[in-house]
Amino acid sequence: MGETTEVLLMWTAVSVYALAAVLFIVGFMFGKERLNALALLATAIGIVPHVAAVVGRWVRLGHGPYLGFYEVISSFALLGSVAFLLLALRIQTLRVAGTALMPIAFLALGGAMLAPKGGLDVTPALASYWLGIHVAFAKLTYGSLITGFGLAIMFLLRAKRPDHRLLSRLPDDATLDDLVFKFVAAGFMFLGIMIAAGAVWANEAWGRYWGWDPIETWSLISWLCYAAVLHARLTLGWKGPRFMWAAIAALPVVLFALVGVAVVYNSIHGAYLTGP
Amino acid sequence: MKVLLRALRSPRLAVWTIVAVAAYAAVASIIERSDYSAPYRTPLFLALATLLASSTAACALERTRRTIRSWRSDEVSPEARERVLLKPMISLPTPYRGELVMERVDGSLRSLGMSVRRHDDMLQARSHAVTVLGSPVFHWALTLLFVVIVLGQLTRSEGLMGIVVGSSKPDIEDSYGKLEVGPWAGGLSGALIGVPRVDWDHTAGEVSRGASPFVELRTARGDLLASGHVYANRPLRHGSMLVHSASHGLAVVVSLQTPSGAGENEVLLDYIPGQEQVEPNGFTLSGSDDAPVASVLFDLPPQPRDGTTRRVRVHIASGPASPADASAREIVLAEGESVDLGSGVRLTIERLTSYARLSVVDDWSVPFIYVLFAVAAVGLSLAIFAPYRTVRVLVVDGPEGVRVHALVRHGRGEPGFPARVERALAGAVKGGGHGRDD
Ligand code: HEM
Repeated sequence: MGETTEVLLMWTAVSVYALAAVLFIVGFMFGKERLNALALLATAIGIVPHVAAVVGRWVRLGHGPYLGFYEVISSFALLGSVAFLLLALRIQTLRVAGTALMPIAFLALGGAMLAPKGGLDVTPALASYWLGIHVAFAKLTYGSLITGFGLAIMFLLRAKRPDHRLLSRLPDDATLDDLVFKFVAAGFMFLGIMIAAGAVWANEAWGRYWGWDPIETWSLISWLCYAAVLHARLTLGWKGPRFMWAAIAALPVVLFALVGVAVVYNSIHGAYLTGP
Repeated sequence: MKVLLRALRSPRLAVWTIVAVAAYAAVASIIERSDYSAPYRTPLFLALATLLASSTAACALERTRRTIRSWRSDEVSPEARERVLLKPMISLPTPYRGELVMERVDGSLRSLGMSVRRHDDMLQARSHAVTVLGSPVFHWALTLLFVVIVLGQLTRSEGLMGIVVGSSKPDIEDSYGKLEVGPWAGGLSGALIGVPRVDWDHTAGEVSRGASPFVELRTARGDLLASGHVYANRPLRHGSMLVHSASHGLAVVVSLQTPSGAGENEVLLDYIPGQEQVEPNGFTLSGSDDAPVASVLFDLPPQPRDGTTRRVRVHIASGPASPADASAREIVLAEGESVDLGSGVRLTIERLTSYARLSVVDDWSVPFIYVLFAVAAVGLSLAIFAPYRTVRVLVVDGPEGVRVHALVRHGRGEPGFPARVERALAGAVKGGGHGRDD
């Protein structure tokens, strides 16, 4: 597959995701279940060209989607959408969470499309299986934490409008609360493994496992923020809205570690995200 | 001591300390943009980190005590029995009685993956013993990580040494261009680090690794300890030593003939990135009265580099003048050629070759850190996904018939768990059309 085909497929995916996001939001505002179902269908349709583009690029460049901002964010939006689709198909009551999640997938993919799309090489510095582990856990981390974030928003929205048609189909408060906890806790664990894998890799590559490089520092800050959120729940007994707000407030820190650091700092990890 | 311990294990203190460390790192990373690690050597940060470590240790201790207690508490106290009797979370009627109820309840609890013990008329089911370990194991692993990391930092050494291809240097302070040694480090190993050759286009695992020095590590007596190609992501290890390839460049080996004798000197020249030129480098010669006789500076003559450079340009200044001065002489020399520096000193280019700059780290703590990472991950996954669960069931023979009372505990307060227990119990104890229904 050539780059033109890939870009066309990607723009198709972006457009269909946008449609899905709009359908989710409109369906949500007017409490229409049909629109909600349609939005889920649009999500499934959008995934098809997205998968095709990612696989086509993988075959053309000979490495997985983890080098450069475009590949990293696009594959992340893809995995997120697939995970959400599977979750929504399995647990129907969680479908409405697409209202929070699909706009994020759409914005992420749209943002990725604006980044340079040239293929980067697997340089000797990157050629390590720790890269695979590091990247896989990064995706699991962001997926879990963003899902927790989306469900937390749904929880708060329902507290405001308990009789909303779609929101009232969500699991009851206690179950939703537990679900947010589980996504946040799983995300915390994945983030920890990602940081540890990064440290092992840094030691293999540079002879030091930690150097307070901005992206290392901000990953640690994110991890500590989530440790505080989990403690607030488990040891201070924060449940319900307070816990939801904490889970929501911690996400921007993680997103800053993912995107912001590469932009703000001239870090050794910067080239990996923004290209040479 | 007790008061201190109690203060340290306050959950509120824990949350605030975690937040404070995160906030410190965030502010530091915004303010300090050149030496990233400088803010983490300040007394304030060390104090915060110590507080977090001690507080984590205190919590781990507290968790461990509780774990041991709950492990031992296989007995069921009269109060516990009373609670199940009077305030059950689940109360189900059953047509079965006596041993039969007990058997059926026992089976249903086992079907939840729990182990069951009988205490007279009561059944106590518990999740597997490892499920109590999650939180303490995780917090102990964190505590030990703090300790091992700090000890490692205090005792490690890390340095860069340039080794001319075909030679070796001992792991001693004088061999290093740059060396950082922790305040509690013992001496350096004294091992010999040699680079017999550099492979300019080494390929491994189908990836071209570029210039890769072949490194040999030997004892001071010359016995081989370890050897191999060293390139990105592929250090050479021996015990706690880790040798990385940092960079490579040109090496000029010169001999000096002076009125008082002969000597040899190595000059290491680094390529300027993206150019066919090197950073000039050289040395100053002093006479017998310590007065400077001549200074020499080496770089490349303006000619395309053809892989192996055959000639160098030498800038020579006599006396205290700098070789960069306009008055300096310039001469291009090949291997074997020499030049007179004045005052009876003769410089001969013995060899034009390359050198490898190796990063040599001696840090025993790394494998322990890796193991602690793994232990922490196991502890955390247990704590989150397999927390401790108990179910206590009492069969009550009352005026309205036999009832099964149950009290359910889940380490994380998962709302679905009591419902699962209730379903399992209900399935086992409810009467069917034929008196039995499983
Ligand atoms: C770097 C520091 C720390 C981190 C990253 C951390 C992380 C966590 C995480 C992820 C959990 C949830 C999983 C579990 O139950 O184990 C947790 C639970 C807990 N932590 Fe920490 N922790 C830290 C320090 C502390 C400290 C200083 C205390 C002392 C007050 C503490 C006390 C607890 C307690 C009591 C629980 C609840 C355990 C339970 O309910 O079984 N932790 N911690």
